[in-house]
Amino acid sequence: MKVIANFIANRGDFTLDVDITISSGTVTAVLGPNGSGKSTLLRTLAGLQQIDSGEIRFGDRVVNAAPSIHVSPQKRSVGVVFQDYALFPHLSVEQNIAFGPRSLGASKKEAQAQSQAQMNSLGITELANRKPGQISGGQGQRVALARALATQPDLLLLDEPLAALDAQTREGVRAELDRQIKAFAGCVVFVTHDPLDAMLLADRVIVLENGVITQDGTPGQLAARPETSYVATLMGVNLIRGQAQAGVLHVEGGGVLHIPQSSLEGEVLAVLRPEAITLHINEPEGSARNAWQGTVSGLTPMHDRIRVSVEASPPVVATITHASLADLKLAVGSPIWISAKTLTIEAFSK
Amino acid sequence: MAWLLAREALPFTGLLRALVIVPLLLPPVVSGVALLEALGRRGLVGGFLYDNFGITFPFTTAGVVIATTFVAMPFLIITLEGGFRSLHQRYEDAAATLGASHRRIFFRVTMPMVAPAAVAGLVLCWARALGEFGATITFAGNFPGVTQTMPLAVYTALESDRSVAIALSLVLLVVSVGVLVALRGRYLQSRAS
Repeated sequence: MKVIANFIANRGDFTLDVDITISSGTVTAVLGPNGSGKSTLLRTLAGLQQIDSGEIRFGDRVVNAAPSIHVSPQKRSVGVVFQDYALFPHLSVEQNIAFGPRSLGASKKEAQAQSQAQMNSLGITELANRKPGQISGGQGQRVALARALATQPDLLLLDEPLAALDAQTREGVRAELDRQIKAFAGCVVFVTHDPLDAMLLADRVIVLENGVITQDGTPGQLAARPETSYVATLMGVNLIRGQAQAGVLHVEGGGVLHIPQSSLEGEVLAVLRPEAITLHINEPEGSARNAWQGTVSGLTPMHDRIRVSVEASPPVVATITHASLADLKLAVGSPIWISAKTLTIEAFSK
Repeated sequence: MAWLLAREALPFTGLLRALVIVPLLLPPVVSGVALLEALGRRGLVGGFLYDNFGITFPFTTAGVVIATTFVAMPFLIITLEGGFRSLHQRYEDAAATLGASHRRIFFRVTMPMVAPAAVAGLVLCWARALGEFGATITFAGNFPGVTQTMPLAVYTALESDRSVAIALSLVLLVVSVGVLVALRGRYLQSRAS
């Protein structure tokens, strides 16, 4: 099955405008900052929110065609794992999972059997009689997944599936979630603001910023060729935009960089990795053809290195060791020279 | 009603809520007068009912029920509305994506989750109704065995036999304290949990 969503949805003065096709058997992450419209996208796919124009199709079935057709969430065959899970607190784990089959007309016995089967496959049978208030966050996540899968949906939607967990349980739950969603035959779409979740769980990452898709590709493509400064920042790299001509990049906002891809012409994006940048007190001499001057505007200690933000043309972030920081005696406001070997720059046309 | 108010499902929700709360703020005697004007034999609605069906409310047992309900019902509605409001929409959303009909969502998810608020509201409402005096005596009068409620009996007994009044008052006091004990979790403890 393919999910085809091409629509505009307004919410107050926010507009979500997307055009995506999602195939079954793939795991798609929707990555974006807060307020980018990720949750709105998920809610419209689930039928919990109306669209204002366009349509949404699940295979041949039109579930949304503005303004006349809106198939209710009950009839869409979607499973949703909500952020914070939204397990019914007055029902036991088993009853929570059986709620879906029961709602769709299964007898008490059938629903119970399906609930048991789901608990088996997720390894949570021992939780059957507990109430949601008596289980841990990681267990709650599995129960929520079991509840969503119990109705055998065509489309599985997960809203920030790991956000409610602390760092320690997160890894284990992520690995388990990975197994479960890879085994699921239908389409999987999950929303996250954490690039790590997107990189590790998804086959495809759709980046959403301000209600618009700004990049769509595999995790590898995102890391190698970020197309917006948001993605570049997430990946921890410098993204430099400008016009290329005969191996020289004229940077938007000032500055010139030599790039190895001399055949590129026109509008170009260049990725410059922070660890490929060298900082100097005096004007550098040597093989690095790119050298420019700037002022240190920020120092952020990481566990094994320090990120140095430099205000320059173009501005960059560099990473240096603690030892180098001591040698260079850097502080915010220090004048500094930046150099980068041409071969470390990766440029591509947009 | 409370659900409609909490979800703001109707236009003029603010006005509607104000109307619900009015009896709470009105002096009960004024409520009684208002009921008399509306449902009395020559009242707006009461006149119609009497002329066409021969139904009268004032000075009957049914009148007592109407008067106490009118005065006490806001307690139930306001408490229940609070319950519905604190219930996050996502539980109802989750139930909808699981295929539950609106009816099933209401009875299997919404109502069980607001049950504590419903019970508290009912008890408050009942306690207020039990103590109702002004509206009852104005609208339904004070006829022993027909419309005499306990507070009315206390008032009457006070003029003839003080000890009976005190005994009846004690019973009401015990009931009130009982209500407080029953609702202690809601009003006396901190909201830490």
